[in-house]
Amino acid sequence: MPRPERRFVTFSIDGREVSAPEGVMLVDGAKYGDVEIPVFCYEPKLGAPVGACRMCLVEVEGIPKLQTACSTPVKDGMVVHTQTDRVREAQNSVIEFLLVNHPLDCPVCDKGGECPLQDITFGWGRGISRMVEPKRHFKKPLELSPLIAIDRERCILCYRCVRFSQEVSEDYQLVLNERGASTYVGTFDGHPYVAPFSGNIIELCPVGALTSRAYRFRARPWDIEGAGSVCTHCPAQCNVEFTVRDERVLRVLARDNEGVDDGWLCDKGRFAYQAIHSEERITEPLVRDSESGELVPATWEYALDVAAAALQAGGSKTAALAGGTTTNEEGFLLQRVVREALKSPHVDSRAGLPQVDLGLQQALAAPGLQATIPDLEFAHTVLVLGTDPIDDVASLDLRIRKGVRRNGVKLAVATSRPSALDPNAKLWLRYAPGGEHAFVAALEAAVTGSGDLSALCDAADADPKALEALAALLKDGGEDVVILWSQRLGAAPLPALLNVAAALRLEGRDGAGLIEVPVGGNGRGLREAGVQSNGGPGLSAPKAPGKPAREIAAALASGDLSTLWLLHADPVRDYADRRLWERAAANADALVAHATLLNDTLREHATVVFPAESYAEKEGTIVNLDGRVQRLRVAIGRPGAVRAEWQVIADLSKRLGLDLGVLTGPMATRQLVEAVPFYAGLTLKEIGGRGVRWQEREAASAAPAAPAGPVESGEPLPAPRPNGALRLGTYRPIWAAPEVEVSPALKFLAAKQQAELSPVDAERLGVDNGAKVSVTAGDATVLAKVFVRGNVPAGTVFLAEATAEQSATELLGEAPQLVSVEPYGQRPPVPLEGLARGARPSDDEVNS
Amino acid sequence: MSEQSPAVARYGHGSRIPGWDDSVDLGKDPAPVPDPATTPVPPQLREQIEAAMAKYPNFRSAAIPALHAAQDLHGWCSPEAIEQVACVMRLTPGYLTAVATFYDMFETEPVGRHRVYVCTNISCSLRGGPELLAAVQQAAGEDPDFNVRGFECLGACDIAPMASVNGEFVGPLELADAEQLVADLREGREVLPEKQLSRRACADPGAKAQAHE
Repeated sequence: MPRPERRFVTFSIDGREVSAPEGVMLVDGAKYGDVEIPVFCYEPKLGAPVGACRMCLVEVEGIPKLQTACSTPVKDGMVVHTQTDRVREAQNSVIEFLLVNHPLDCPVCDKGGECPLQDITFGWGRGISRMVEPKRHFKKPLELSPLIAIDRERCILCYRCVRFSQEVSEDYQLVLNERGASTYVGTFDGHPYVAPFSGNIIELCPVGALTSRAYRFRARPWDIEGAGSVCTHCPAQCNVEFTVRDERVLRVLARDNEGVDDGWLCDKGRFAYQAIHSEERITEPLVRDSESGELVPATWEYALDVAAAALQAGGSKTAALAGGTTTNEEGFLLQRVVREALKSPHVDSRAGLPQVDLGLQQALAAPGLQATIPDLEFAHTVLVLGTDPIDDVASLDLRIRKGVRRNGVKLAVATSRPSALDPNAKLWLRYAPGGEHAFVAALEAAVTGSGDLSALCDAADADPKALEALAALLKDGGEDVVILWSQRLGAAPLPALLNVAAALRLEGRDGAGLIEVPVGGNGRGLREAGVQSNGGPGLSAPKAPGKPAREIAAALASGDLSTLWLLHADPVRDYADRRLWERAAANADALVAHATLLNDTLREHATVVFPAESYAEKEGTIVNLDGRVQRLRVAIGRPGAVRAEWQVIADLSKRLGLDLGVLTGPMATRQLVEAVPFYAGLTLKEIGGRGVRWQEREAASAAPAAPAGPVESGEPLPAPRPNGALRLGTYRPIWAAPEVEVSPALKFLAAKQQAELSPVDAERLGVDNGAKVSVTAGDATVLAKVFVRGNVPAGTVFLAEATAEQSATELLGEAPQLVSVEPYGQRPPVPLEGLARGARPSDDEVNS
Repeated sequence: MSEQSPAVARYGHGSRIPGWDDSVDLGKDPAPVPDPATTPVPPQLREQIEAAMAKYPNFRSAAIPALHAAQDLHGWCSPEAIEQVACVMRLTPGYLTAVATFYDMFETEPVGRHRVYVCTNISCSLRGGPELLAAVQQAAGEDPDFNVRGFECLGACDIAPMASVNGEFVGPLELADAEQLVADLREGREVLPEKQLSRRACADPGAKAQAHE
């Protein structure tokens, strides 16, 4: 749906003539005349107002009764009074009523000092209560989930939390039980309220009823400072405000940015800050001791010397990988050092995914073809292709739901794995894992009307009728089509995707286009900064093309490359083909890493580990998935001996004989901006607190011109046919991340391996929900707990990637393949926990 | 009636609602929409719920008839019953819990299978409703098969004081009828046939048949 046009109307409030957009509620309209009307339950982000708390009563001339300003839209010529005796009497009474059973335990309440109930009582209350009866008292605080505590005495039944659960996150787990004076916020049969966005209700609560168990009693509002920055845990890059006390981050709050996050945070973004202050954090340089073979703490000078010597020795046989949380500047400096000082072309940041032809990348990144995040909310049709936003880019899940719920966006979901958005979709389609290319080619055929649709659908194992319905929806459902596609689709389907976009005429159309979901928090920025094997800064052609990550691994394992340099990257955990990467790490002559946490690979194979900054300590820029350049600001000091990463890279570079000319963080930013043509002229000041989309700046015209015309999309390979063995589909759960595992509050959510099976396959294998199975491909085996899901297509098993143990990356090779699933563990019983990484069961054990 | 009805349990702090003091059980998993693959639903119940859903433009409107069907099957809105309804309706059990706890005729605790609702609202109480309630409660004693409770107006003031016995309205009742009512239920007989509203000459002759199908 196109964005609504805003007309202004004039009305009078407290004798002042005010002009406000037509249709806004009086509460918001009054702000245009600097009049504040107190509210508890009103929160426009939650949808239609409910008028539950009655705090916003005002007098409107011509209407005999007082009206709730939160649910009365402004009209031309309306005359409103908020300061009359009647209104004041009503406000006093509402406050008195709300406080009848409120315990007034502000001195021991976590909300005290930042509590709307306190503020409004002070501003609009009578100051005394006539209530002489004893108040109700209950046990408190109670657990609502491992993250949230509930204090039902304090609750004023404003419905905010329940509305969030029902109308924003749509998990419908939090409800109001009973009725009238007995109403209370609760869940079904004592189940905890655990959902990916549950933490938002803490921030929404206008009293101290819902509090964060991680933040309880850690600080008072006058002890803390807010520091605005950006979350780097996923490519959505939601804007956050760190609550800082004594150089420690104690809490993360949302910093509403309509262009990015719409004011919501996922629980990972809200609670994974605890990883910053984890005991396991590396705070000093570690160098492998030649005698003991262990990593031991070292001085910076020594560590830099050792690392520089190792890199020097590696020379052009060095490969560098940057992970998703690396800033643009760090990535840019890294590729400079590798390409200029070491004369090696091997840098990559694409998380081990196939290399995409540079011309194709330029075409896909063409400014005219980019949709923005808010476009998801106002498009006629949104196609989610090959990604489940809840896992890959959490806050967009809420954005898409909002568009469907409020603006009637027609949603189509095309994925191999059942998606959390399926129930909201007008149309959902499944294709076989490995059939991505065939599916997108089939979509192209259906949209353009050329090509052999049925053969392609057969290759993708998709329903041709559903594809035709999808093509009809995209073509005839309105011009504004946004396609949200995942980098995980790989390289092969992208020409077909471009052709689909061309056939739908998305280029140059405001409100329509493509949005890529990159892998890694700053995946897009790193590519634009030149951290990829076939692309330099600004998506330019590099002097010499290098090897992409997968070939780097093979070359390290075979000895063709000798040295690996990792910037926040953990290829063994995150990239496909874990065992190849394990071999690569073991075989490398030297491994230099910048990391915040140690993992097994570094512990066993690293030569030097530099302590890396966390995202709250960094300065620099990152780019979110729709091209918004955002700024990370320093919120807290660096712990221990941690140094700025740009500085470490510059120091290393100097030892390698190249002076980068970077003495401060902003100098690195300037170098980056000069090197990337479409960032030209960008300053930190311009980026500011809200970021700026580079496509909307003049310099965007300097983006590399894309090759024109339809692109040859190639002949797709058919997806493997299940023949007793099952297809393997993988996904990366939102909770499969080291920062989740080391955050005490989130630890309980850390992803464990489970095999999602269709009821048909589960029955055939004779396994029930919760049973253990072994999933085998070649000589690699992963153990998993069975999770039978009715909507998993028969013939496919889905496993999680990047779990701490038993990760599906173990089974992923170069090409999609079939896996055999067997019941496991009846005899002899081997506990799942007992099988540590590396200790794989022998074939006898698995088959017995 | 000056005293609080003994039928209404009260807790020390003045609330009637046990849930106020209940924490969640952190050992449990969250409760999303149940997966059909792992939530078996009796076919007959599924049919009833789907029929109810088909009647309304918005399927959520069928929550109340669906919960009634599940309650009839399970005796009360047990977590299992709610999960089954949730599974068929593709709603969360939480949504249905909110409905079930809101409305009085849904039982959220196990109760006796004989439902005797004695009206204690104005017309009935003027004609001895509370005394009748006490008499029926005494006659039923501690029998776990009985669910005897006072009820707000059931809309049959013309036969006050009255009671709804397993959905059948009987009245006007006298204190002496209490023993008979309980005995009829215990022995599986028609309850006070001569006082049943549906047997009145003026009643719809088809009503009785429908009520018992």
